[in-house]
Amino acid sequence: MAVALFGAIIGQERAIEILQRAISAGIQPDGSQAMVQSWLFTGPPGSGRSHVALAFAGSLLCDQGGCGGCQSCHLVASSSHPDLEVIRTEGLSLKIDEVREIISRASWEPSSSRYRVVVIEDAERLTESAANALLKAIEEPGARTIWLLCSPTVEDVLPTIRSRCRQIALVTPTTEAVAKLLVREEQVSESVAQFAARASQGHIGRARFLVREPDSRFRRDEVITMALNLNDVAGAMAGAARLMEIAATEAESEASERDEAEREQLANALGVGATGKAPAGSSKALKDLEKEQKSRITRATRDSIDRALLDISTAYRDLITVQMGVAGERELINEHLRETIVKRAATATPEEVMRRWEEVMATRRSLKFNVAPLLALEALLLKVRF
Amino acid sequence: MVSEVAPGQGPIALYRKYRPGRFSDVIGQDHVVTPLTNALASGQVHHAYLFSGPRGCGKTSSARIMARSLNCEQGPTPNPCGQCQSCRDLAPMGPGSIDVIELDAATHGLVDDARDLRDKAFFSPVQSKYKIYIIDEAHQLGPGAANALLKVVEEPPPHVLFIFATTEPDKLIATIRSRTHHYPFRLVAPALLGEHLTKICHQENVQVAKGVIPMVVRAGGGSVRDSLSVLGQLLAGAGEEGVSYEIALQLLGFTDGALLDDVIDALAAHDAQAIFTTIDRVIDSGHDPRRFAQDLLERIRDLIVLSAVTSDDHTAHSLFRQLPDDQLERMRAQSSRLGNNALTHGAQVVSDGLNQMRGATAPRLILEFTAARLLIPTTGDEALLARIERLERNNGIAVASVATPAVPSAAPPAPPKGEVKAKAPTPASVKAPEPKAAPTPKAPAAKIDSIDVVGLRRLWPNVIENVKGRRRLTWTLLSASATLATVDESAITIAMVNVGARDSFLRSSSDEILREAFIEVVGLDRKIEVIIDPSVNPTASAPAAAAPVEESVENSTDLNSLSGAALLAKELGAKVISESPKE
Repeated sequence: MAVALFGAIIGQERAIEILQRAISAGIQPDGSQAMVQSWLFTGPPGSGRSHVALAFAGSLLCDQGGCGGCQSCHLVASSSHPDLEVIRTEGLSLKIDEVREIISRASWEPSSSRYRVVVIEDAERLTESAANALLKAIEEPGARTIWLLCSPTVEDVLPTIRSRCRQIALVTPTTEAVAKLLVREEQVSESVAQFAARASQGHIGRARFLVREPDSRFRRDEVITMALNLNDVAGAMAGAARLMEIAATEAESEASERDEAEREQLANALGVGATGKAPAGSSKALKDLEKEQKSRITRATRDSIDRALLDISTAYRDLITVQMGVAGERELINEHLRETIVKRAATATPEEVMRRWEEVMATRRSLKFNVAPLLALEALLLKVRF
Repeated sequence: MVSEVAPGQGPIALYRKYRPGRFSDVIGQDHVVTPLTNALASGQVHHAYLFSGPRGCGKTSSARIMARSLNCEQGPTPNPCGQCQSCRDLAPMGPGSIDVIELDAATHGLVDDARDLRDKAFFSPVQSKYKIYIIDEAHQLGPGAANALLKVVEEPPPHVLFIFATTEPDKLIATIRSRTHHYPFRLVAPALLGEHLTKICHQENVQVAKGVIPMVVRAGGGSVRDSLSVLGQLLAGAGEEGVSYEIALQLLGFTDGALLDDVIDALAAHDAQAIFTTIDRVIDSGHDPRRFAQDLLERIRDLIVLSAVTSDDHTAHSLFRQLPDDQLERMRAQSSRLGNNALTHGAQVVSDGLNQMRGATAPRLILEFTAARLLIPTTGDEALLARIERLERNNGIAVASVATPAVPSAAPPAPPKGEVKAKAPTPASVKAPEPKAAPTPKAPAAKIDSIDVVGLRRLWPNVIENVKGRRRLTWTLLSASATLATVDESAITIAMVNVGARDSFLRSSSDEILREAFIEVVGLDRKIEVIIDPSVNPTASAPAAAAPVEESVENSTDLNSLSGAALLAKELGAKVISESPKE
């Protein structure tokens, strides 16, 4: 049985084993329970839910069970397979109208393959009515329809959905697995890969980003050192301002290239710059795009702040590890800053660090409720200075 | 009840394969099935039913059985013949009948759909007795649609019957509910579910090791469909020799009991090293941190229950029937080592941690955070109580109950420093004994072997408060002009501001009162001695005292008038302007 499609996935051996059985049973029905029609993939962000789901989908569509070389596999890779439908949303939710449309298409006979596969990448974004509309479809789907839903945790979907699906729980890949992947695919040195794997806590996308952008590594260190050496009010205020700045830079650097390309594409499509009158509504379309890009930047900034706060909490975690005297055989997440951490650990008590950790977590929560980020950060840093 | 898979069917999940086809196959819903069967047998069928209940307990299946039983050629009968056209059409996995219309309210919940339904309802059934509408997920009916159905649900044509099925009956408008017979379905009891699963394993011809079925039942949470989904997963992973316990444990991701034991033991021993090593093991062996936290929470819950029934051996055994005796013994030891407050605090922390793991970027970090919080309680009442409990245990002061006062030793493990710690042990040890300070005087007295003046001073306000209940005069004297000076093996020494105060204190035999108060609050039986110390500032330790009282206390020689003046000053804010000597 070919396994090519699963080759790129790391650290999920257990899940893949189950899926492999399902694929063989799906291609050659043997009356066993290995294959069912509705699946729910869960796993923390960065563990590769959608990749696993797509590899599974590709394998079901391929006659050889995912050879990676046939026409079907190529079509899947270029996301143009006629029997594969991937639903993902950039927006905040998946609405019922979209779902109804998917359901009606899902019951069609497959055109060229054994199955028709529908992948919903963000099942947690289904609105309540949309999720309810799915219930009947995933409980008793058409004879050749396979549903693959993905969500971070099972609590993110309705219990009635959960109960109809077979669950595949993906795990956070181990540090070694991530580091190995980075060395193999990003051609970086062992030590950088180790660092990125530890710092990203198994989030593969984040680890790649840390490896590809050396600046992001420096920024991360800067944030952590700042948090560890925070002693006075002035430092706290300056630190908060700097955090905001860093977040803005990161969001900018992610967005700027894509935004420009998008704008150009749209302008081209609308015929801006050509001779003659521009079509009606073209300036509004451009404005809408800009607005969307802006809200995307806001979201990216917020994500980046959240990442910075997580980075700070890794430092606190290290502090406590040192203070509890278990740092000897356990690796620190910020191993390269060990000296600073050990020094700081001696001047504070675990209770104090714990309280700071709690403050950081509380701030992460309140940021989710749309608190003004700078204010929240200032308040936080004032509270966590040593 | 096994049905052949129709040709051309795709893979069939167990919960579809073993859908019940008659009421006698529905498990665990006797309170619903019996009345329905009786109604069918006697022909007293209502025109609209509402089936509600949690996921996967048989609502939709029962609705279909109802339809099958009604439309059977021999019907209405509780035992559909299974031979006639209608019975074959409506069998589980059958093609369906033209007269039984199953609607998904979530996709057909608009008012137009309802109007359409209403119009068509008046046509006679094609080949059966009844035209039956099964409206599934009825909670998703829009308000317009539900209202449009009202008239036809209330007075349908004689051949029409409605069955609503929903997980959330409260969301259905009241006017629909009032027109239906409401049958609430329930989750299925574990024993019954286990039996059912065993039967299915038998029919599937799969060997299942002992202990696997209870695990499936636990994972299914009482829902038949959930349990069958899980069972299907296990059967899929079964090898030649069937489903072994280890495979099941691994496939379901349940945490090995030994890992939980390790964490709990380490927690009781307050061993950070062991806890973090166990967490490393959990992660490295590919366990899901969430799952682990969930299992840990369940274990803590079990321990709390155990500590509640600790004296009753029989109850404990019947509550934890599924546990082997040695495991039960181990858990008992764990629960008594940890103590109630540590357990509730632990449950609180772990449950918080679970909430934070929802969609969290780094579940492992959160798990470590949770573990650290278990070890280092910081804020909150539970944390403080857990801390006190630990202190008490460490000091070897056996306590009758949680609230029994005890003297904290001079040096708590981590000496207070900084803001967090300053507030941690001090107010707690003062506060905690206060509300329920009524233990028997003798019990704690004998146990205290080390006493220190710092700990006693913290309890001083409580002692004074206790004195207040005994004699107001003594209380006034003490709160106005005395502090605790020293304590040793033979006596407790209090310092009073001046000779006058001391004299009235001794004259009124207040020392005896104070001694009794000490016995009751602290459990310390010592002689009371009084010294004079003009530098004493009692208001620092006893804020209740009012300055003017002091004056009258000193000058007065008469017991009654003294107490009266003091009382007036205290309760009414009176000031002594002048005093006329008595004859």
